[in-house]
Amino acid sequence: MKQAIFLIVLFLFTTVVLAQNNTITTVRRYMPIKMYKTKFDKPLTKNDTLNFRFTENDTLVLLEDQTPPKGISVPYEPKDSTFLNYYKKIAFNHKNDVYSNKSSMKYWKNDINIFFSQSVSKKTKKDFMSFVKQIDKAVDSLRIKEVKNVEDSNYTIYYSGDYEYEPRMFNYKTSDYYIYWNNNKIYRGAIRLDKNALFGDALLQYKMREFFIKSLGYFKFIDDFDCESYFSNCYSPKKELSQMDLELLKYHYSYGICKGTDLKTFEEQHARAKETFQKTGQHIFFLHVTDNEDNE
Amino acid sequence: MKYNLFIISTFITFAMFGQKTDCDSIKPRLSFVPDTWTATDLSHYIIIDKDTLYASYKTDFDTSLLKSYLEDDEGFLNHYRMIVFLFTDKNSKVIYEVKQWAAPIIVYLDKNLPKTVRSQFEEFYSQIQDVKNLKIGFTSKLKDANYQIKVTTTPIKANKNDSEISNKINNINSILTGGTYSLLTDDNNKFYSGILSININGRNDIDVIKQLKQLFFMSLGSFYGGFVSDNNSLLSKHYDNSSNFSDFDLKILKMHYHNIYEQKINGTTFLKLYNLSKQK
Repeated sequence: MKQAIFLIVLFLFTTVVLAQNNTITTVRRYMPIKMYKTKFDKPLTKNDTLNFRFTENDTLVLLEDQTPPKGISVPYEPKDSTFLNYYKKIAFNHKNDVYSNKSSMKYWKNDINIFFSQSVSKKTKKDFMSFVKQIDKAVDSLRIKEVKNVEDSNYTIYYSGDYEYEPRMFNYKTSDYYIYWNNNKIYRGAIRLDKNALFGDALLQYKMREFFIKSLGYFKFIDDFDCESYFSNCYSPKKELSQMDLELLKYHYSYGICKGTDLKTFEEQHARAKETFQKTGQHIFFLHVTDNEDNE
Repeated sequence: MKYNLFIISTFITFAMFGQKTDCDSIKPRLSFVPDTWTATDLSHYIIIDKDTLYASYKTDFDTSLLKSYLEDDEGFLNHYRMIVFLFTDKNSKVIYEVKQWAAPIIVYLDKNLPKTVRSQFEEFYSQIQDVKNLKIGFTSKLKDANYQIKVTTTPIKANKNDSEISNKINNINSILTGGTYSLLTDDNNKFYSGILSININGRNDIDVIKQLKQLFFMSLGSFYGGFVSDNNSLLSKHYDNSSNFSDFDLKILKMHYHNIYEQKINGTTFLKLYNLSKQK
């Protein structure tokens, strides 16, 4: 929930005054009272209460500092319910498959810098990176590249028997991936491949790509999609990034949604955004604050 | 509970589509296509930037094959249910489900296997040509394979605990003593890679080829062996190492691969499909 405070949902209440054919727009910045109390450690004053604004289910407090915080303000990205239904199944990976409103989405905030261990062949790297570049190209706010030094990386790909770059997978019997996150922001990842089991080139690529896609958001693969989709839970020798796959990734990394929220918040924000649009014809804005939050 | 929901939602979906398929019990898997003429359901769509994507799914599931294989042959139906499901259904404590290969199988045979064994094995399995949805080929390069048959020096026992006499007897007779296989499976019970390990120390070629043939056959569907009394069958404990595929084994494969199921199939769903096929 904390990051929701930083990703402030801005309600732009606009007063329009007409004077001699000129339109003057006054923007006043408010914050939901619950969010206000968490963010500002001070009691509400009489003046605050006098300036309260009331929406149907919430009380809004006028912000003392009307200077817009530094960041990128992006209008809510509306999506149809069919798309959102699939997106929620994929992005909100419920623990032990038990549905929970507290399940949260996870994403990479910084660029992904991949380091391959020495034993990964040039061909394997090249094939894999050509796949990764499709994602890098399609998804605006996600940059992925290969780096030559492990110190410069936040993502390692290696074989069992190589140096164990991710100690938590040291005892794993099968190929797997591991990601770390803090406040739902993923900041480190690794793929460990068992070459004894993945002896063919095609097998190796299949598994690397599967793990990589999963690691982009701790995604859950679903049984609704055709096996050619990377988000389906079944194998196909003809997997390819479909328009739908890329759309899901683009949406996950879009600034037009509030990132890192739990499912309940996600649902509420969508409901609120839709309601606001229906009533006012205006989209609410998500402000992605460009502070110096340290992921680690 | 989940299963019930899925059946209900499938029913509703099809009711909305106003069309019937041969397989109302299996949730179709969708792809989303931009072309209305390749779409299957125009009412199920997604709007993206400058385009609309419509749902498309396979409609070629045909249960008539089930009917043709099983009708008037209850014995075979029971054999199949035993080999695949161990007679379990959705309410059983342990549920066994259909497992299939979702890709053509490309076999690599270890060069340490005797040459005669390799050639006999290849010859035997090259007989499988007309099984729909099952393709078996061979390669001399491991990197091109998705199925590896390799020699091991590690002793392999069918039962881990052989302290009891009964287990020892089972081990001696079991198809899985001296050889084993492991398969990579996706979340939809589809195989995409396999390794068959066999210990050939102190064994003659006939013994080795016999076991290889049996183990490989079992791995085509994770079939449970040892319950078939006909010694011609690769699933018999007393397999006679025939050079030809038995009719029974071929029928099992044709049955098993008549369709690649898009969802998991347990014993209950299977019977439902069979009953549906009989109504047609």
